Amino acid sequence: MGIAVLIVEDESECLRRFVDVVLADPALTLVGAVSSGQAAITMADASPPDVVLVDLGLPDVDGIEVIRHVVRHHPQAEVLVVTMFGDDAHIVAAVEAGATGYLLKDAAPRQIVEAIHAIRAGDAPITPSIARRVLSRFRALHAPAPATAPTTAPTTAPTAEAVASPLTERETEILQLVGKGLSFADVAQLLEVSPHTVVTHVKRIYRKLAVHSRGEAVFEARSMGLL
Amino acid sequence: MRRGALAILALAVAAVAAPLLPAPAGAQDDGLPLQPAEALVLLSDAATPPPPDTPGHRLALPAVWSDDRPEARGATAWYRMQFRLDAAPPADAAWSVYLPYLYNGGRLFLNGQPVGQVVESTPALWVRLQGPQLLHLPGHRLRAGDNWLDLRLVPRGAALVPSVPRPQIGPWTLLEPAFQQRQFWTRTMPQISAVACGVAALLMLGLWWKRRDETLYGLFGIAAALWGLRTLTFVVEVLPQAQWFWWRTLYHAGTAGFIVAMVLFACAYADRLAARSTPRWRRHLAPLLGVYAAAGPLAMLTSGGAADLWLSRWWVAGLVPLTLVAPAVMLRAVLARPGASSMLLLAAVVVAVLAGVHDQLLATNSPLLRSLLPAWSERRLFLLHHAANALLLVMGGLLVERFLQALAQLQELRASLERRVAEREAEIERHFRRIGELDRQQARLEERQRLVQDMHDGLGSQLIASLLRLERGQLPQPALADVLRGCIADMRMTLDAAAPDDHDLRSLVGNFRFRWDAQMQGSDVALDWRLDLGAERVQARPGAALQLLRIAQEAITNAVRHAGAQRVSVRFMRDGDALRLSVQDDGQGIPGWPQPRAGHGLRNMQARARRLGAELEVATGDSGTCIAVTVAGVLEPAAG
Repeated sequence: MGIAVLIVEDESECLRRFVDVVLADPALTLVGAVSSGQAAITMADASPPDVVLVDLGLPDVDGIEVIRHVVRHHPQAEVLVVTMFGDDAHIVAAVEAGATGYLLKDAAPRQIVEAIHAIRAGDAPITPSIARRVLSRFRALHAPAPATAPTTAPTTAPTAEAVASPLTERETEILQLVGKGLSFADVAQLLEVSPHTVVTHVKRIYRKLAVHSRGEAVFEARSMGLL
Repeated sequence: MRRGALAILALAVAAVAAPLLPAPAGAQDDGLPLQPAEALVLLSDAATPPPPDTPGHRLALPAVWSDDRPEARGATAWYRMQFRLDAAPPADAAWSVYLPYLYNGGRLFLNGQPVGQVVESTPALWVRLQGPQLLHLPGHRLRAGDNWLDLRLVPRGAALVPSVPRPQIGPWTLLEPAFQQRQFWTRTMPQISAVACGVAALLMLGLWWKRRDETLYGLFGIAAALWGLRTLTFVVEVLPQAQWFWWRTLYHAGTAGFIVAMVLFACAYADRLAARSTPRWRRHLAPLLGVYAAAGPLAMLTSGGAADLWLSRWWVAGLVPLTLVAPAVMLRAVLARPGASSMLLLAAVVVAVLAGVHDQLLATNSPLLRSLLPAWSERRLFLLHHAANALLLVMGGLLVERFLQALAQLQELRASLERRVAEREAEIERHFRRIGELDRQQARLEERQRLVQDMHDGLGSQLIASLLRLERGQLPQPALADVLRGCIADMRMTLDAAAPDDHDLRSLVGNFRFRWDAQMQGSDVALDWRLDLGAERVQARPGAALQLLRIAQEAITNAVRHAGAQRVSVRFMRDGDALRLSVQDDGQGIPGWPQPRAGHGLRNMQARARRLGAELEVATGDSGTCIAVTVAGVLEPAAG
């Protein structure tokens, strides 16, 4: 039994391509290929996947919802968000929902397979601009509310960052270095750790962002009387 | 507030003055104090009272100054006054004789024994005492029945015979209050006035010195100074005879000068009130007054003091009609523009003029005053001192009021100025905001135009060219896939460059590298990156970063696709505000360079480089190609 893969994609050409790639790799098992969010949720519950490839622009349910459902009910599953252009806003939203990686729709078959294997092995791709967005998301989430403490200005100092956000100093450092355009290899060399360690950190960062943004959402919803 | 202060002042004045007004004579049931109604005048130069049989003449008391009195012949005169006591007071009783005035000093004897001496005029010493005298009468010298007082007066240098008051005799405690009152008004008050006038004059003249066009301050300063000097001649009562002449001259000059300054002040104030320049008829007033005022002191100087008597009587009297100009002018001003301040000044001027007339009548022993107000004139109280003080107070008060008004106006002006400045500032800020908004709109517009232009020139033309080739059957499927991949890569770059919240060139180039790394992963081409962009955030001119990345994209694509390179070195190097890009490969070089076949995108790269104001450097050969471009003045510190 290989890696169980669930594909959620409403564009048939894309879906077909992903299905072909998954079927072509003996190490991967296709547990489902669906084109709607509702079907994806049903499918995931029926046969829990190891990896979910999910497009954000689904016709019925928002892809983000699908990601949330999968992460909540099947925490062992890794979610790869499928995007058209790899634009930051979508990816960060997906990461906040619980995704740990992303795939470009035009990726070569080899790249798709590699990405699925890599994410199972603990990989977590991050571009400089995504790193920056993640950093600023943490700042926004953990900066004190302006109304209660108007004098506390947001700060970029790593030590202050560590106090204000749940990121460790090392994680913040990695995000800042990646945000400046350094590759994982560069970062690893600079921090004198292995590239693998850097990736592990990034993955942990993604998890934290997901947890915190969700916690934040629940808290906000509660305070607004929605829950 | 001010009214309250005025009321308190008036009350204080009334409290001090009140005991002066009721005549103390005969106020006591027991007949005290005793007030001899007449004196027997004996002429004798002896140092002790002349014997009772010395011939003399009777004189009713008080006796006013008169030329035709027998003693007006330069002889020493003894004024013998009798009074009767029913019983002798105890030997240690403190009795006294109160003399409301004793201008030239003198000596007092009780029942033939000396009991007191007041400094008196001598040929060397000139004495003019303003205050009252309270002389002690030893109780053991008083006896039941008739007593007699001898007042010995020596004549002053000139043939002036002094006025003789009616003495009051009684216990010390009974007479002292009246003495203290009169002492205050005739001695203490002039001292206060002289000092106050001096201070006020210094202040106002200092002010006027700085503000010459403020005539009122100058006139007030002169009036106060002259009045202070005149008052000083009353404060200093004992002088060497030689100085007396100058003293009198100063007195006359002070009196006349004060009147002139006061009249001119009233005129100037009235003009200021009516906001008009000096009327023509009054242009000659100042010289006229000046000439008349100067005439008195000049006459004193030229006559060597001989004219003093005449001046005191006639020249001073002549000042009165001139003085009347002040109330007349003020009255007109008040009628034209009634106001509390001007009415107050008018009242003060009128009072001062009346007081002046009164004093002149009193000084010249006018029968008119004596018949109109016999009891009052007997007390010989000169009023101009106080009326002039009051007038000066009013004048000073008006000036202070004017000053405060000007200050208030200034404050109001400043407040309104500040308000207007604030309004202008707000307006300017609105303008700036508007300009900023327009700038932003302009920037957005330009950005949009650049994007449109960019898509038109880049993606659009590439897609159309490819479509046309495809329709002609000239575009095989792998080439079509390449074209589409190129288009997608270009769109990614465009999206990255257009990200609204990320202007750091380092992160933009980092994204570019990240995508290439991902694409080349697992291939046999090694990409070697070197990004020397410095430690701080830096951004490229709008649009420039995208053009540079496209050149890099094209160069790397060429190296990988067409040159068969194994290794590609990509360098982004910052040098100040210049940015240099170089792409070096180890491929087969560009065939036919410098006239390469179409399709290598070299022309594209050249066009982009030119659009950036730079020249594409191409070095190619068998061992590889190097494409580089240096764009100057393209970098600036990134915001945010």
